[in-house]
Amino acid sequence: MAAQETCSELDENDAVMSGTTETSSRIVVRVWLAASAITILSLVLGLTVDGAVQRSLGLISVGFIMAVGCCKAWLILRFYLGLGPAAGSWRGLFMAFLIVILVGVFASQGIIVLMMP
Amino acid sequence: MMQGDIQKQPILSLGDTETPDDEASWGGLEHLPGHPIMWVLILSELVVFGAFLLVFSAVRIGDPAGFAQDQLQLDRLAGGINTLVLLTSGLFAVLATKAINEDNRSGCRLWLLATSIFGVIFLIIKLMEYTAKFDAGIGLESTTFFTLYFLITGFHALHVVLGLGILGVVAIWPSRINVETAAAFWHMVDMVWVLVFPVIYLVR
Repeated sequence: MAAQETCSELDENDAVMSGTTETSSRIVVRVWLAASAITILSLVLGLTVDGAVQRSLGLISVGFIMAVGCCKAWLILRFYLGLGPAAGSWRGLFMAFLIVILVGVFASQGIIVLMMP
Repeated sequence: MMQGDIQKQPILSLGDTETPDDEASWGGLEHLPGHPIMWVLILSELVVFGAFLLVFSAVRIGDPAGFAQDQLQLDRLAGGINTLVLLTSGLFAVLATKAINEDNRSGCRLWLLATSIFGVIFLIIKLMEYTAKFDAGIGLESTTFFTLYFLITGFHALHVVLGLGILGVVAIWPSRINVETAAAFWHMVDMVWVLVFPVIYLVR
């Protein structure tokens, strides 16, 4: 939700400079705060989910952890790198890259869960 | 125009002022911030790291219990702190880019220095992690998990070192295109780590 709010705010405040999209410092700091917060959340989840550190994670937990990772990667691309509206096809390519990673890790976890006795 | 600058077209004016020759030169890479040649490197690095992570996940299918057991010996807290460190350094890289866009060279240099300091902190934490592993008798050939762990995180750490070198050079000649190019590489290093961290340290 924080990311969505930040996205919409950015759209209103985009100032296109020559060659890149400049984002206001306030928005970048908010993105940093959001990314840091979800990093801590995923770390806590990865350490303690399912009530035991040593057990394998379920599909939902893995999906959440990977979604958080991909969300952070997207925030970096969108706000740190400043891939603006004119770089739409590139944003699509990077999104495809993240989806491939997400699906690949999720699928391998699915296979592992199915193989478990 | 500073030495090292290249001709770049404003994003919004693409199609109006760009010549066919420009399009043919970089295949669309000129739409991205920084020097297009850096994006050739960034895109190829993303493919390599993406393949690493997918191979890691595929190999884990063959021995999920062994991978989970080995993963317990990783310092997840250190990995998490390193994620925060790189996110913070990425923020400073953005601020360096903003400073140079405002013709604030001294401010840009300061932000580049802050970016570099956090990059060094990342490497120190990583070195501490490696040292702890070696002290525990864990090496590159201990298990498949640790082979992939050292390979992927070590390759990433090499990119951090390379990024520090680029930031250092750019701090000497802080033109707009140079800073954008260095920042693009640094953000790639940042982005790769936020994907490496959950796959290697958290997912089990």
